[in-house]
Formats: sequence, C-alpha cells, structure tokens
Amino acid sequence: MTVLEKVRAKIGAARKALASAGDSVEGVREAIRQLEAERQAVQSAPVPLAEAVEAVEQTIDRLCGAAQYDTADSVLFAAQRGQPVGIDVHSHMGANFGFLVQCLRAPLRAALVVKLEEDYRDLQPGLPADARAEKLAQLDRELLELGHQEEALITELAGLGIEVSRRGDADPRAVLGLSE
Amino acid sequence: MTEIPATAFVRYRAIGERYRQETAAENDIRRRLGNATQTLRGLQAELAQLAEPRQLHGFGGRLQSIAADADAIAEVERRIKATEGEITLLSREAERAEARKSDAGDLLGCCSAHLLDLGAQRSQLDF
Repeated sequence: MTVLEKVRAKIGAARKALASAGDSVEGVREAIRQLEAERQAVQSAPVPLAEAVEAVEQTIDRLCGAAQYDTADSVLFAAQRGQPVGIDVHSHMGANFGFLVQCLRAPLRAALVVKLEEDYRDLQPGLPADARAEKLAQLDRELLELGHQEEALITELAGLGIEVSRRGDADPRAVLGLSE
Repeated sequence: MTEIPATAFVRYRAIGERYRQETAAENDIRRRLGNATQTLRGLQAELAQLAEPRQLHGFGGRLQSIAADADAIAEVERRIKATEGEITLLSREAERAEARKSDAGDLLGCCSAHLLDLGAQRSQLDF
C-alpha cells in the first residue's frame, strides 16, 4: 500500500467515524422527538368522563357564585340614586346569568352531563389527573436524561473538533449541565 | 436558593460565544449578498445602456458597431447570469445562517432565563 493509499484509507475511516458520530446525535434527537410526541399526547388527551363531570359541576358552582350580586342595589336602591328601578340587565349580565344558573342548577347539570356522555362516546379519554401528572413527570425525567446524553455527545464531538449545532429548543438544564 | 456550579456559567458563555459567531457569520453572508445584488444592478444598467440604439454614421460603421455591441451584450448577460446564480446560493446560505443564529439565540435566551430563575445575577450572564 502506497503512502497516498494509506492516507486515503485514514481519511475514509475518519469520514465513517464522523458520519457515525452524526448518526448517534441524530439517534438521540429522534428518541427525544418521540418522547416529546408521547408527552404531548399524554398531556392533551381528553380527561376521563368523571373529571369532566366534576369540571362541569365546578363551573356551575362558579357561575352560581357570580349570582350573589347586589340585587337589592340594582332594584331597591336605584330610585335613591335617581336611576330607573328594575334589574339592570346590561350592567349585570354575568350576575343575571349566574342567577339563572342557580335557579336551573339541577336540570342544567343533568343536561350537561348527558351532553358530555354523548360527546365521550367517540372519545378515547386519557389518564386520570394523578396518573397523568405522574406519567408526565416520568417522561420529563426521561427527556432530561436524553438531553444530557445529547449534550455529552455534542461536547465530546466538539473536543474532537467536530461542531454540531445545538437545538434551539434544547433543555437548558442539559446544555448547562444542571440536574434542575 | 440553588448553588449554581461555575461550570454552568462556563457553558453559558460558550453558548453566548456560539451565538456571537452565528450572528457574525450571518452578517457576513448578508453583506456578500448585498454586494452581489449591487453588482447585479450595475450589470443590468450596463446591459440597458449597451442595448440602446446607437447613432450610425455609415454602412460599414454600422456593421462594425453592431458586432461589437453583440459581443459586449453577450458578455454582460453571461455575468448577469453568474451573479444571479451567486445571489441564489447566497440567499439560501443566508436563510440557513439565519436559522442557525435563531436556534443559538433561542437557546441562549432559555439558558439565561433558567440561570436567572436559579438565582443568578444579571452581571454573571455577561459574556
């Protein structure tokens, strides 16, 4: 083998090593993308029906709370201020609506639950709140670990004179070498 | 408050330096793009001038004049085509450089925000 052939062989080996290093960074990035997609799916999945019903009840409670407005102020004392006596529908729209909800609380709840049940027939609900939070925390830990692996590869390659651009959305904890 | 290791600031400054390099690289490409665009305008003006009808003084002179202009026009057209090609390449390069700079800037912003959240002082983030 001539000197030139030997040099060529070395260059070829270096090229292969370079391509392989690039592939390994890309491999980690692909794993990160997949985990991020999984995280997004877990986070945005519909809540279970029971939680949706609970949310409806909380909303009804909140609307009823808004009904505790000063009807007396609106109706009784308006005259004292020289204003037309009666319910001021426009200024107290939220309160009036809340009052209506309060009056119709039971049938409204029932109707909304029926509507929810109908909607949920075609839905695949996700995890309940506790399990969802736990799963998201686990995925976050795995993502951070992968981020550290990616950063370690990039740093190692930089030490060999091979520059690999960092992702703009890389986890700052991984890039800064922090655990939190 | 968390104790931030000194290595985090070293890394932060390296990211800042990278951002500075990407910004300089993009500026350089934009400057070359500007020069090429300027050259193209000059060549287009030159072409317009060459293509203008000339006042001819006689039959022999007319033939000679047309031949000379056609060569000059062909040469300017060739240079215009080459410059347009250069502009296309530089535009693509500028887009890529801008994307790299943007990535580096986003990362730098996230890292500085994270360090500030951990209790770093703004003065520690100078680079």
